Amino acid sequence: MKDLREKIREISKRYPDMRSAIMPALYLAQEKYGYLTREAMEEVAEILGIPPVAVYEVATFYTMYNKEPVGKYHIQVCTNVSCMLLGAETLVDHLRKRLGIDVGETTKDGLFTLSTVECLGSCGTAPVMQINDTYYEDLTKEKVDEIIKTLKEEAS
Amino acid sequence: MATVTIDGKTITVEDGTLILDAARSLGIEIPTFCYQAKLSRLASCRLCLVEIEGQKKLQPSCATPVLDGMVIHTQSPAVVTARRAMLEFLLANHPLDCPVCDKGGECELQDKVFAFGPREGRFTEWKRTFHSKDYVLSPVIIKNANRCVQCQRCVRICEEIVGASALGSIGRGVKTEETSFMRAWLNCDHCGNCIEVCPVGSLMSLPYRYKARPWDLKEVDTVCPYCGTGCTLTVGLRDGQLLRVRSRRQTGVNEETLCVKGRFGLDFVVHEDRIKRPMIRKNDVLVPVSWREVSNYLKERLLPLKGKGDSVGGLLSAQMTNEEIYTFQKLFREVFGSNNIDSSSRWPVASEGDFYPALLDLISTGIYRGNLREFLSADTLLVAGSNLTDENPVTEYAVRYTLSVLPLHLFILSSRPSRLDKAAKGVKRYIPGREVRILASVLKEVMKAHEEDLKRTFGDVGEVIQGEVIEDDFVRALSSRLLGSRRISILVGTDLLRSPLAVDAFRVISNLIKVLRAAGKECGLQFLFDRSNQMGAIDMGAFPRDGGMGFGSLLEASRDGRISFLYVLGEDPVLNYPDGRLVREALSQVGLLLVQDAFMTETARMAHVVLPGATFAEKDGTFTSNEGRVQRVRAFYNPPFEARRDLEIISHIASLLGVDLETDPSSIFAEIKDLISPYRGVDYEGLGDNGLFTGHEKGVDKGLHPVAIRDVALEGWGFITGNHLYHSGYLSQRSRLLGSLIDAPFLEIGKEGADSLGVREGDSVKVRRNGQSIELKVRVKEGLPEGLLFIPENFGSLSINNLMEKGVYPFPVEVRKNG
Repeated sequence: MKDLREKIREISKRYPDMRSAIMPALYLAQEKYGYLTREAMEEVAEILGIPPVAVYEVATFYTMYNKEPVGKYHIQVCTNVSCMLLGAETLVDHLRKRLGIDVGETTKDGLFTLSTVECLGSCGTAPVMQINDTYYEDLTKEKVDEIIKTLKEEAS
Repeated sequence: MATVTIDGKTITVEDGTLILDAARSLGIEIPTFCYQAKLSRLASCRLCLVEIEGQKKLQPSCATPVLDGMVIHTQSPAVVTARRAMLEFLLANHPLDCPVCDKGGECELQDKVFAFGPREGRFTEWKRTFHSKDYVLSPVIIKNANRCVQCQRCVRICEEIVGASALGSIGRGVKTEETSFMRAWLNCDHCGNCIEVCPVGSLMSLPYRYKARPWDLKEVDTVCPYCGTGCTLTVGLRDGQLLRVRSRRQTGVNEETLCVKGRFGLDFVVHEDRIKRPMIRKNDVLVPVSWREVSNYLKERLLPLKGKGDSVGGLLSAQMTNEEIYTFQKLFREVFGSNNIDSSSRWPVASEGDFYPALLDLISTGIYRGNLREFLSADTLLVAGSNLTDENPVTEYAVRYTLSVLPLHLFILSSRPSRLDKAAKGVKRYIPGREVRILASVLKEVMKAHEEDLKRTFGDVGEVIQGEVIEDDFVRALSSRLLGSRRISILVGTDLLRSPLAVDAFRVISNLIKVLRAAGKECGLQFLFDRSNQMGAIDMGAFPRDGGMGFGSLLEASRDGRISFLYVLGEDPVLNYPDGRLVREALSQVGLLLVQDAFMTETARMAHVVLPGATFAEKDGTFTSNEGRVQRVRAFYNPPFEARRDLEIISHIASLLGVDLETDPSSIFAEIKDLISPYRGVDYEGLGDNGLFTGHEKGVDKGLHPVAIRDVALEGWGFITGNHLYHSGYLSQRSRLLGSLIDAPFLEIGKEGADSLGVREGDSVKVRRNGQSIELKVRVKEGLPEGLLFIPENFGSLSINNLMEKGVYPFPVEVRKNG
């Protein structure tokens, strides 16, 4: 398996400016470490040869980068207009009760982290949530329960 | 050209002019926040919105260029309303804690709200709060993010001008915070330019915190005493105490920037090490005496030496004013009849007799006396022998700025890597002593391409370069670039002045300039002197002339017992002369060693007589910067205890010998103006905020100098020395604030070198030479040439000059890992 440095070096070749490579590099770092630690951001900066603060700017701008540890499954519920109109907030409440955590928290067993995010770009199938890299669309409470159940089984 | 109408007034301006600048040239003031003249355009604060007829939406005048025929309104109801709304938005989250804010009274937000409204606050919501307590970002910088208006001037100046890139915009939207990586302690230059540009009290000076209200400050404009860049600065005093230093917008070479030494390093003037009263050595102990007693003593000792030229000599600091230097050399030349005068004890290290003639020839051939910013507006810039980042930080800012706005091609020939390397088209590292071969190789290439022009100008030039030249990427790239340029500027740094082959280097550069000019190009040079008035010292004639001895020869003569009187003014050769053994031995053999200084230096400790002089803070006069710009130094303190102004002391000594010398700076300057031709057009009274430039004296063209290429051998390890960003001499050593930024000297070593020694960053190593050794912490610096080490000079505790030897450079040493 290629290490992070090699992967970032390779991907950075596609860009005219190393700063343009920050986002894909951060994704690679997040993939490796689970979330963006201080050391991970410094490593990305060092590999790309740019100031650490430039990496930190990008990492803090986007919600897709986790600055805190997240559970095995990171549930990101869209609460932007279309999803909100179709009941996203009810879903969030349901998830809070079901998982016993608040938004921004992780379950004790380390399985689930619940977040609300802005538009996921799938308004046609609202309400939508994203768990890790997978989209779940046209959600209802029942569908959500089913998804959580499947993930729990998958994990055990 | 475009003709536009702004508020009913018509003006014709260059295409591409911003509406804001067009308005300002009409005297119409448009308020701004995020706009800063030398920074990239952000157009985020929307305060400078104007109405353009035919366009529905208001446009930011700081980012909108004029178009021919535009009709613009800056005071229309729509503009006034929008402006007020923008300020209301800024106030929505601003804590309005003005009573405890250092910025209160000189805050741009206060001023703008006062001028443009709103007159009432409508927000009843909670304010965004990042933190309840201000957090410290460095020993000199403290942050309050709640007050920030997100103009990002700090972020931009840090990246675009300073090149430190230590600040960023963190988060987004209303939660954006301009701060450091992880909000942690800044790894930066601590220059405080972020504080200077902050319009509100978000980035603040920690030493100035809660010390004064700005309207209580008495402000005095003066010139930085550190390096030769010659930044103007304004000191702020309350109850006679120096509390802060700031720069002034669009003024001087520095234009609202300063480096860490200028902004935070002036506290040396109140260091407890000040010499309080005159002292005479009695029974081998320096005993404080009255001025009367010391005067009688000096009179008795000096009278027999009047007119005894050869056995007396003087060394003075190039951080003295022109008037002091002029008077000092006059004392020696006219009263003692001696030409044994020098103004630096740190170079030359070799071929002393030829050094000044070669340097003066280079000056008369090539120097460009004029604005640095104009000097940098060239096609090609060659920086030779300097780590600009450490040696002349503000000159580096100017270079970085120029690179961002003009198609300037930068080439760097330097022993040490620097932050500018990244921006250069060509970088060449070398071991000092090998620069001549590199420069001569470039010269040869250029001469080859212009044989006809040279013949026409110089006749048959013969073999100008004797010896083997090199052909490498740097030489090829630089030569071809020089051939393709119309205007070429060269910055010559102190590394070249220290080189054992300095004389040859000067001659090659002088030849290069002459050849490029013969080829029809504009070419000039400026020096990167690291002392505030080195240029002035040379102009004033503070060097050996007509067979006089330079400081190195004076030391040798002293060692042999041939010097009866040595007068050292404001220099500490015991600490910084590059041969510790020689300087100690020599000074102990001088008949009468007189040291005049503000501080109790190592040299003063060896003196027979010590006189308490003044710092720059206590005197009036002028400095001449590396640009040849004459600027006013203004006193803001009185000499403490029984110290006196140096000019008064020099003239007092003359009076003991029955000669009257002027003590009024403006009268002395008038004499300088009469006698020293570059100063002919400079009027002391006319030195305004920006000073005045000395004029160029046309040198006599003596044709090309033949140069034989020699090499300096270095086997194993050798170290070089120079300034550090936080330290450049015994003044910075006495700054408490600068001391808090760097606690110990260090050894810079290349990556490969560190690996070969098995040392890592922070490890301790022992550096040995001739039975002397010192211990240092390692700093790994990528890009130092193989075998070369760097140790900053002027760390008093270290006495690195014990490892140095006259005529040698770099200094060969053994290095071993400690323990």
